[in-house]
Amino acid sequence: MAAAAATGAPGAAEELLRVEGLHVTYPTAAGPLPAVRDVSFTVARGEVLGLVGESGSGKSTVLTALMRMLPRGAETRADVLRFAGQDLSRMNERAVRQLRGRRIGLVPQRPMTSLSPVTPVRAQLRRLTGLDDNRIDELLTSVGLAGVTSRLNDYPFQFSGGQLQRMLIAVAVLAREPELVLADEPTTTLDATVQAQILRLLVDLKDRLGNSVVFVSHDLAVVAQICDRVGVMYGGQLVELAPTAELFARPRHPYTQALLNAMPARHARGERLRAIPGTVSGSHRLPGCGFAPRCERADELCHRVVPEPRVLSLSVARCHHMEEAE
Amino acid sequence: MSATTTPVAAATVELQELVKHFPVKGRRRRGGPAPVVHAVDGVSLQVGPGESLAIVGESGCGKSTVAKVLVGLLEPTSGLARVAGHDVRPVTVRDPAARRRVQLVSQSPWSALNRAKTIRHIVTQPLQVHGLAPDRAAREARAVELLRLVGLPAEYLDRRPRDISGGELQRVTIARALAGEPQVLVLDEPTASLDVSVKAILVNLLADLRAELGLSYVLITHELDIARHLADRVAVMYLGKFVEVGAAADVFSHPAHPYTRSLLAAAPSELRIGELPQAPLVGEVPSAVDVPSGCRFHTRCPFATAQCREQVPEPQPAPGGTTVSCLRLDALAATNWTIEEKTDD
Repeated sequence: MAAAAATGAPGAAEELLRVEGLHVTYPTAAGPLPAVRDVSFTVARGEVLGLVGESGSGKSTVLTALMRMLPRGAETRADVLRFAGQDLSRMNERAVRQLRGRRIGLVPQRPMTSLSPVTPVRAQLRRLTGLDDNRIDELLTSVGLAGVTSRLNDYPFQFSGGQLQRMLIAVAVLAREPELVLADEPTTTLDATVQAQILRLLVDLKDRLGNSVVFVSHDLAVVAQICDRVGVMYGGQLVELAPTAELFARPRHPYTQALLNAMPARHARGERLRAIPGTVSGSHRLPGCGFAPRCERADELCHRVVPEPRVLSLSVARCHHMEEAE
Repeated sequence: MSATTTPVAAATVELQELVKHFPVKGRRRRGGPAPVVHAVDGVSLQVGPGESLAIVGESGCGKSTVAKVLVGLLEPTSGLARVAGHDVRPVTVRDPAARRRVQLVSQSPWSALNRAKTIRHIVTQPLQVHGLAPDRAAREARAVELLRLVGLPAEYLDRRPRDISGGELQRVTIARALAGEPQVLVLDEPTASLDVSVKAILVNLLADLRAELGLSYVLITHELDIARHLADRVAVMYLGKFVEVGAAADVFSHPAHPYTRSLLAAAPSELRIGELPQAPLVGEVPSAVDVPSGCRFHTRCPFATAQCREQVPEPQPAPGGTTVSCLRLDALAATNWTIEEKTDD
């Protein structure tokens, strides 16, 4: 896995998911809003791919599109959307349902709002997994929840966020052992010590079951800890994709560089943080590179022409000037 | 536990043995005492003029309760809370002078501001309430000045909260808090709901404002990085008590209490690529209703002994310079645990 992760496009390990030229457009009062624009990536079996970006960058929309769960009215277009040899984009709803939960699992962001507040947890786990009580207890024990199996007739509010998230991971990952797990900011609402436990659980399960994970997060530090490769999203585009160590050591895209430089951990105490001037809003209306208005390196070409993804060493980035960086 | 480094007379914010318990409904056991949530259980601290103190800890440790007591939103069960030499008076009591001394900046600017009003209304209302500007023109001028302080252009006065981004909105809440010229800002998770790039802007702004206006900060946060950048001193809170207090540099580079160490180790760092914390803390924070006996951290502490289950630790100075409540401090001092403070670039 590590060897495959070292190359930008994993060739050695078997490919599980291939996304090419994914576009998603939401209808809004102000006209169609392109939330995801021309996003391409692959995920190998057993690989953890991170997608990072700020709010509105389109990272969650990519996941939702993969689950084929976008709201009505959203328009999805893709050149290739292939999961384990099957064309996801052409599948009918019934076939997609066969995949959801069974072959593609989803770990949601807020465990509390993903469960019904008025149904005891055991009934919900039964319904979600289709398993009997003994098997449910076994599953929960294997995610470190042996202590709560005696009170599963309680309601979700009677459990902590960490406990609920473990339950949902048991449901999403262990119950059916899906080949692909989509995790949408699964630790964002949790405390640091619990977050560390949940991340360890996801990684341990992956090592045991060999599933792949697409891990969406706004937190670069979390992504650094568990992902083999990382994609950085900005204004609906994947602006950079690289093996994790490479991305942090040699970020190629100016946005990635700015994002890393803005992290408080990169600054000595009391030193001013390097913020990114301007905002992302409106970047989809620009004729050229969406980051150009905020970029120090931008020139006339950047404002005019959208950069295509190009390979540099181990990274793929959308920047006209990626060779000049450092 | 005391966080004493500044003399009493000079303290802008002072808490003495502050206790805040909340009654629990429907859990009364026959014969036993009425059950309560021990949100804050004997916390003392002092913040000097122009000083910034961060209270860090996980959710449910009581840090936000401290914030609410300081601004008068909650009345303490016992103990003393003073701001600028005056006892904090509950917001239900009409006392404009007390309101002006301390102001709150809360976590979510979306719920802190009236969505139907313009930014002009939001920022000028405190001026009007406190009679800080004689007429409309003076209020307008002051509003522009307040927006300039937080780095927003004057044309934002005519906008409404829905027209501007989260980071800008948080700056509006800071401008509003500054309108009454407070001595103390209580910042309750001011950056938690913001993106990385916006967070950086806000951290810089808060640092500038403190330098420019000589404000004292009580910063409540679970983001250790934010505390490291904005605080002179840090208090680490666990289940209603401070377990470690000290200068920010000491707490972050020579943490002594096992909980502080676990918290620092659990915080993800992009400097450790592909590495998860080796021994993450087991379990979660116990219930604040039935708090553990003795040292409250003993149920999760890797160093706990039988004594820790019985004896409540008193604060004492640790070799690293911090003040620590731990019975096993001597044993822990032997385990070397220094974190490299990042100093380059």
